[in-house]
Amino acid sequence: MFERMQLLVCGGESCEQKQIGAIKDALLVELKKHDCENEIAITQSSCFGLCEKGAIVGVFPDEVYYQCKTKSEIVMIVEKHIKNNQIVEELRIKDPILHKRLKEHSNFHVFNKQNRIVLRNCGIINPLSIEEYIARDGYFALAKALKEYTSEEVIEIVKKSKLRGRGGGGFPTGLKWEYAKNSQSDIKYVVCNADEGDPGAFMDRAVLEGDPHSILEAMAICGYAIGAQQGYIYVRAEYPVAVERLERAIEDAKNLNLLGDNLFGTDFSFEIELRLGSGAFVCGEETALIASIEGFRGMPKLKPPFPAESGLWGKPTNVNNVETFANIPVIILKGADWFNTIGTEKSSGTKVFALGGKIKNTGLIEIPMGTTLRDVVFDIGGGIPNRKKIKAIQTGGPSGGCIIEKDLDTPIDFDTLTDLGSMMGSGGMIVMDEDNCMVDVARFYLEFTVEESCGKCTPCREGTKRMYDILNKISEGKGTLEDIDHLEVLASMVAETSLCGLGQTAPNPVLSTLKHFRDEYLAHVNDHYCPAGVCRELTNYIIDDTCVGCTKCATNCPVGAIIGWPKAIHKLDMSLCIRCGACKQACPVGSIKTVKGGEAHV
Amino acid sequence: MTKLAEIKKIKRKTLKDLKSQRRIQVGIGTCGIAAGAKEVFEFLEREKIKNKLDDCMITGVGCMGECALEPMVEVVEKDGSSIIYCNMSVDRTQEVVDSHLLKGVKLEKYSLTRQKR
Repeated sequence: MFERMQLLVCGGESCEQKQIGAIKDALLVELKKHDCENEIAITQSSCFGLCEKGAIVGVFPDEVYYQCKTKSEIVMIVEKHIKNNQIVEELRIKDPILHKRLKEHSNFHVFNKQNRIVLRNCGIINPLSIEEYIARDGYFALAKALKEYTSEEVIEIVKKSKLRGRGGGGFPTGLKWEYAKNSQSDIKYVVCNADEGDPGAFMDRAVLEGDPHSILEAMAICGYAIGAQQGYIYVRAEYPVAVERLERAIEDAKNLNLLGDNLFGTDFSFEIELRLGSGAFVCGEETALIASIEGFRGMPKLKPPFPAESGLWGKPTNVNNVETFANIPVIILKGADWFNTIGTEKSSGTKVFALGGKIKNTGLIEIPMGTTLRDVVFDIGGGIPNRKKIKAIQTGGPSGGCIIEKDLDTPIDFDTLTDLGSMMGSGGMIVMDEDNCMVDVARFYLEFTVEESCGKCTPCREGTKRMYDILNKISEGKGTLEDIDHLEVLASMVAETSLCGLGQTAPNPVLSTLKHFRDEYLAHVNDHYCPAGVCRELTNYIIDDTCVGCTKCATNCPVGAIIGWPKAIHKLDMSLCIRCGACKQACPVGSIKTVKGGEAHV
Repeated sequence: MTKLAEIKKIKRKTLKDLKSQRRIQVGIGTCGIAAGAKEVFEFLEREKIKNKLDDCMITGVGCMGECALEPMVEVVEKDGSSIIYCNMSVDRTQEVVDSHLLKGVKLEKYSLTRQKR
């Protein structure tokens, strides 16, 4: 389990007949020659069913399949790919159909479309054991940075890797570090932003809980690069497990002198402390976060000056997100060129998403940038449950927007998502099906921003509240066409005039739902009808004559609004109905439908 | 003062230690704990003592990413091959202990590859 690579070798009978059965032994001999048999695991699989191609060797996690017929080819694979990470193109199986078939053999979560860099250790090592982190090459990147590179060279590598901030904005990390380095000061700070507040997002939590040392190591590397000696991790108090594990990790690292004075015998010293946030969403904004660490109320400041010039206690400060930091050790160890091979041209590397909502496999996924949304939803996520149709995908939480079905084939990266009117955000991805009302979705996110707005600037404090009021009005069926116009004007005004990112992006859910689902807004306003049947005041049910009289709806109705006998068409009394939708869910034949106001039984 | 050589020594020793044991990993991130992974974890620790499973190392790990199928228990054999059991409860864990850990018969019906999709 702790090997850096896994080789999958076919061990079917027909291969053995071709006298390549000894392929595993031949591989072992070669690996021993290079003294790396401990780093590589060889697994013998059953027959791949591709016997005419010769013996198949799969290399994971790179997901490359080779066909080899002679011993010299095995020598080549070991020397080039396993030793030097170069793919041997001439032996590679290129046929896409075959490749797909091979992929199906490895229907295992480590082997599918994901590529785990940030989550490389999550779910594999014991987060409380520094030894296990070291066994996975932990703290080797710090040693390499300190011993082999100058601070300028470290920044150069990060710049060359084109790593962009994973907290949402997508600002190039290397540039940020360079600004902080170029600011003249005797004291500088490194801050890790672990104040993850988007509803439905838990990527940072998973990294902090599953692999806390990677963050400590990366912060120390950052400290060395910009010339800081003190780091702070600003983590939410709502993540008690993460806090506990971080505390333990810091203690363990200090005991081994991997944090503290004179790391690895150099004159570089670095300390890390935790600061707990109390769950204010706005503290994810870097200037508000800094204010909170200083002990003030978490409110953003006008930029410039940027934290890189004047941040924590007026000193140059570099603030990066958890996920950004988690990429750093790997980039230092494997190099910027390797990192650039993953992802798209302008957004290299991977992104972790918390996949949730109406999807079969909810969970945490890490995919290379450039993967399409369709792959994420249907291949990794397994599609929409209950044979429903997909309506939209919400990315970026309360700052993001909706992506509709026709844009599903867009490759995901920072720029394409912005072009679609959404944003990468920190990585929440919520899938919605036909049962989601988009007015209600916009209302939900606005309710969140209204509560979380810090109140410092008027557009955000008042504007979000007024937008929320209008949305409430619409979802109660009291909206007018002017309200929709007002909503649009207000939304663009709040976006343009707010002080910080929270207000600037708060109207996004409204703007994008208005853009893509205006007809739903109009149905609410003109027809007093909620097509998805979510807004209670605008939902009316009828039972049509396809009813089979199974009595399931009547049994499930909490208020006894449905009357009916077995095998007879049931009747619904709308004056008693509380529009909970339990009957619609219970109906096995889909006889209960939502209709516009006038058509319902009374 | 820790030098690179010492880190390398820790790496070698840990890798050797890990190879010498059967490793049972329970995902105990917040998501796992919420689904009941802590009970499963504690149960496994008790079973280890009860059945004298000295070659088994019970360890907690972070989120494995398949939150819908938590709690998950991964059994990694000494040769590196592994099987992930998902949707585990204490009762199901008992079955895994009895069948897989004690008799060496894998319980395919609870495995991730079987349960997914």
